[in-house]
Amino acid sequence: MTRPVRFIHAADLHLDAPFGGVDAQDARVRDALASSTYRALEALVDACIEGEVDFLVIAGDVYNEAERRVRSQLAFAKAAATLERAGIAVYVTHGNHDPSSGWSAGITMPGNVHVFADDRIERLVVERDGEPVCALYGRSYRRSGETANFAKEFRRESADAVAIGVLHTNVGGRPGYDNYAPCTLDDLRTGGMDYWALGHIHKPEILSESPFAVYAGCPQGLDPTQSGARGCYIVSIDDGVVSTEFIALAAVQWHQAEVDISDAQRLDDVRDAIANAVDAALASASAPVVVRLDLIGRSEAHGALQVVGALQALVEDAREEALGFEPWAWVDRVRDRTRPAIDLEGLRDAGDFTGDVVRLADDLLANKAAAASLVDEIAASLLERLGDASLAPDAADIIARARDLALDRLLEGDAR
Amino acid sequence: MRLRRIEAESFGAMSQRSLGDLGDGLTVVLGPNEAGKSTFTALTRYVLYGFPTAREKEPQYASASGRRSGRLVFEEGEGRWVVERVEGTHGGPVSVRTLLGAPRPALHSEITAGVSVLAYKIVFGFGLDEMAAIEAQRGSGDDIIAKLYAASAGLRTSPQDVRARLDKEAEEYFAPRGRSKRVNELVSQMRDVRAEIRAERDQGAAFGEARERLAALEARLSAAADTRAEKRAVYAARASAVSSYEERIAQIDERDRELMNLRRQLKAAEETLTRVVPDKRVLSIANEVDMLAGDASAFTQNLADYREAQAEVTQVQRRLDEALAETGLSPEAALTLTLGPDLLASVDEARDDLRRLEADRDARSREAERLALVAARVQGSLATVFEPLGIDPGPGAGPAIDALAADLDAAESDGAAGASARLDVPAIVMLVAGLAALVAGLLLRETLASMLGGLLVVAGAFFVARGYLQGTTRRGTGAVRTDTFRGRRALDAARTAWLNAEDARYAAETAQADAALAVGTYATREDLFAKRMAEVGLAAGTSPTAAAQTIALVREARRVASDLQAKQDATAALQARVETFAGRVATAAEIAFPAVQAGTVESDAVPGLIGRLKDALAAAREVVFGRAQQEDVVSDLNARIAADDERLVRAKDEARAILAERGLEEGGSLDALREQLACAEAEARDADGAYDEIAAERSRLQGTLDMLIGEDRGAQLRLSEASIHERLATAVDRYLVTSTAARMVGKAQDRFERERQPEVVKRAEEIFRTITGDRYVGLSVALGSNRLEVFDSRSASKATDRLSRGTAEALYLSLRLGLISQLDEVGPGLPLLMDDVLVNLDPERRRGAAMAVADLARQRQIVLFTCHPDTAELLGEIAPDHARITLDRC
Repeated sequence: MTRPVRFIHAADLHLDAPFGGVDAQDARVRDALASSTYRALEALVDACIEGEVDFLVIAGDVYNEAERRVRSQLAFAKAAATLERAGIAVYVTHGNHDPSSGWSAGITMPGNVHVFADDRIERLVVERDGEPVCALYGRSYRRSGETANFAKEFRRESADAVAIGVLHTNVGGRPGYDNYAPCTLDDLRTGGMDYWALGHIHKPEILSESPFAVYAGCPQGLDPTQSGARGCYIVSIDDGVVSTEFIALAAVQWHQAEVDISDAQRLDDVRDAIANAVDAALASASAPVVVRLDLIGRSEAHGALQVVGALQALVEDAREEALGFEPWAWVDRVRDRTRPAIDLEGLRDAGDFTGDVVRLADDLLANKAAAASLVDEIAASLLERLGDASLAPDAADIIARARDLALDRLLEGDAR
Repeated sequence: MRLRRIEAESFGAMSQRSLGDLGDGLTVVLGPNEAGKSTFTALTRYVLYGFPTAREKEPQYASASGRRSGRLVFEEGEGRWVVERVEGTHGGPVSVRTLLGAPRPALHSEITAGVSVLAYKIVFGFGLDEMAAIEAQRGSGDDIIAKLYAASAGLRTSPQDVRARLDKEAEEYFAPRGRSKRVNELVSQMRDVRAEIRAERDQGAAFGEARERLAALEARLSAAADTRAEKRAVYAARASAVSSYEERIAQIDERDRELMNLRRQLKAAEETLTRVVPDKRVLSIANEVDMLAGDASAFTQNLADYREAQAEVTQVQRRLDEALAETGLSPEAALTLTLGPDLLASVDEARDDLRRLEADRDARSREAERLALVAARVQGSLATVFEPLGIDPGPGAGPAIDALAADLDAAESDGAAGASARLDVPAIVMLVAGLAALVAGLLLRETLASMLGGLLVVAGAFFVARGYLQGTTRRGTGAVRTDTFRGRRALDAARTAWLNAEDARYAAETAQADAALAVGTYATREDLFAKRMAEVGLAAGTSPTAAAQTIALVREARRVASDLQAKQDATAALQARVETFAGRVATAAEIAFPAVQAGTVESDAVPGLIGRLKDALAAAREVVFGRAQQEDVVSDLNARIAADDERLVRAKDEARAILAERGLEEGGSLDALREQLACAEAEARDADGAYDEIAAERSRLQGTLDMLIGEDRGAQLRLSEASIHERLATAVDRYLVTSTAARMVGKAQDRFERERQPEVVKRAEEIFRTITGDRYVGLSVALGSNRLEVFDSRSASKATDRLSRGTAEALYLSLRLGLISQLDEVGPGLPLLMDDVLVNLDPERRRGAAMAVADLARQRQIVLFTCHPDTAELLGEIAPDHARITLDRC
């Protein structure tokens, strides 16, 4: 009886990826984030060796940019060399972030690294003791914007005992991701593969179990939206039966949560709520965590939070405490999305000035164009100066919060 | 809430003066000029808002009687409170005192909520001077109307203030037409970081090129290293050649000098050799002389020993004579006396035996005498013991005692058997042992022994007592038993004495016999020793001690005689050795020194001759040694000269070979070689320089590449970019929210004024029409113009600055009354205090104004001061329920 085919499926390493949307002011956090993709790669190598796998499959986007950084290429070469010493082969496809046409620093990869061709579906055979045990089919991106359906071209050869498809693709046109090498689950089913090792979608997910079509996700979350566990799958195929197990690899985890402070009366209550949220984030994490919190709810503490510097002081207090934990946590951002403890309905019916404010906001919120016009008018000169479209505001959100701020000031008398 | 009284405690010219009670609606205060109307108006404002400082442009109403102070008495329902203020810092402290009803400490704040001091001055407490102030304040940043309407809505702050604050906060982030610190800082930081990122990327992009350059440099460096090695080898070879040539030249010069010196030394050595000849006679007996010299000390010792031995022989002879004399025997007898070991042993044995026998004899004699005395004494005492029994202490006493005892036994045979049990001996033993154990136990504090002893004592005593009692009982057999008992005791004593006497007599007799035997034994032993001494030749009466002494002396004499013989033999041997050695020395001296005759040498001259022989031999040998040395020198010099000749030739050959190797066979010289070396050195230096230059460039490039490989600066920079972007997003968000909030407040203000201000204006317009008798029918506040316009009955508009003073004052009064009519809850306790504001109106307008005032007085308390009785009358006519207070001039 032959030993099962055992491999690790990873994807989207995005080595040296820049971390967007994080304000890492602490040196330790910065260092951890800067090296996190590399640490995840090291963890991936360790998992391969400890799992005694036959090979490692990386379904695209090893590097974050077509202009692969020297450090990234050297790190990957070093990791591959470690695997080579352990007798583990590495099969790689280029993805949209690291197409084959991208720049290379000319660093020679070890002999155990096999890169799929970018002009066809390439079949690579894995041998054990001179006997073929598995065939891998894959195709690399030549350029970043591959829009052809590669999946349709995959065809298993009849002699293959085990067939694995490796592809960087957007199955089903998932929103939030570029629709590169698009395909459907049906396209994947027609290929006859035992296992589809997919890349491109950063959240780990098993799309199908017949056949197995799996997104390994990225080993390291790259921005605050990529929260939760990140890692790879260790796969075992025994006589056509596929079993998978997820392995967490992330060196730094992201955590986003809403904190309802409706019951908070004072800033002390808000501070406690933030501390509890950080504790909860750490309780569910096995690695250092970057925490982002949105304070929500209609709270008596809303007015106190509007005082310039009040929330920042709470954040800095929480940061100082959270950095002392092991593993540490970095309170990256705490947004005040609370609303004043004001009866908007009551104000809306009142015929006074605050009622005018509420009704004015209602009018704007009901008329998106008017709201956008007002906010754009206010933001125009600033955004023009910044020249950064990503900073474009959500007019409705701005209007709602501006209303709350105005009411808070008018009713609480902070401006006096 | 109504103001009931205004009390001037100390204010201006007034002291302890009050105005009241004021009515619920309209109160007309009539008084002449300087009656205090303006003073009460001002006092009311100052009590509510504080006394002005000297720097403020307000009437001061300084008090001559001390610090300014005043009180306002308010009333609501059944309650009555006093708001009181005394001049002090910040306008002076204000206090609320309850006269009646529940305490209301916040009453002052309730009354003035939403009404600033300026608003109060313009709207609530005004005179002619303040009449036009409403319009003047519009657009000046202190919008009285807006503030009052804000207050009317229950707001604690002015929307204008809120808007201004929000605008200010927004500008902290970004100012469209100015410098905004926060955004500018962040944009600047972002620009810097992005520039660094670009630079870092450019460096990364140049990595491949740099690697190629590095490879090229590596190749160049390798070639340069080869060239450098080659040039260094050439230089080293030429330097070696120069060095070798210089060395050879030096060697040739050195060899020339050395050969010359060696040849000079050889000549001198050969001359010396011919002059040195050794003494052959002495050398022929060299071995004999060496042996004689070696034995010289032995000879000297032998000679000394010989002479000492001669002296000792003489001395020992004398001691022998003395020893022989001490023996008391003739020398012949002493030396021939047989002194075997048997003799000495027999003497010693005899001496010991005689001593022992003599002592035994004496002891036995003394014992015999003592025992004889004892026997006599015991024999003497028998008479005393035997007398009661009637027995003679003679030889027949024994049988008499036995007979008497048999009689007594017969007498006691009847019933005397129990007497034997009278004394219970085991019981006595037990008693005694118990006492001993008891005493020992007590002394030694042994409890067990004490107890055991006690038990034994009790038991012993019991048995003894029982025996005694039994004996006592039996004693009752009669007097016969008593006599028998006494006879028995006497008989036992006689028997004991008799036995003792017999024993003593026997012992005395035995001792006497032993003493006689010891005397005989001693005499016999003396006879035996005398016979033995006679046998060996000593005198017959010689005692063992004297015999032993004589034997010792004879032995000493014989030892001395033996010693003498030995000395004499040794002396003869020494003499022979001395004479033999002297003969050998004489023979050798005769050979070495012809003047010496062998037969004439005395023993004492031998050491001197040996010394002469040794010196002569040493001198001869030294000559021989010196000659051998010279011969070695000559031989060595010849060898060295030959070797130097050879080396000289070789050095010259090598020098020529060096030149030939460098291609300088003809005309070659050291200078030519050095010239070649200088060229090689220059080339090697150039090669080194080229290598170092390439190596430095390679090192720099390698450093750059290493930095690119190992650094994570790019990631750090991008994190910085993300941080700044986040902060920028936050700043943008805050700016937009804050700015939008400000904008919304502004819009609400516009809407508020647009939609609600007409109510004020409409009411003011009605009042204005009433006052002007419909001469003016319209009133308008153009939005954004901050200007009032009035319209006459012909709808012609007229700006306020074109109105007559009376019409303008009617307009402003209309505005105030219209405004206050809309302030339902603002300043609930604030009365409207007007100081002769109707004075400039014509009678028609004055009536209209009075009607408007009376109308407003139905909803808000009004106090109207006037110095014109007709105005008071007019108001009284229009509002008959008004209150009137008349003031006298102060």
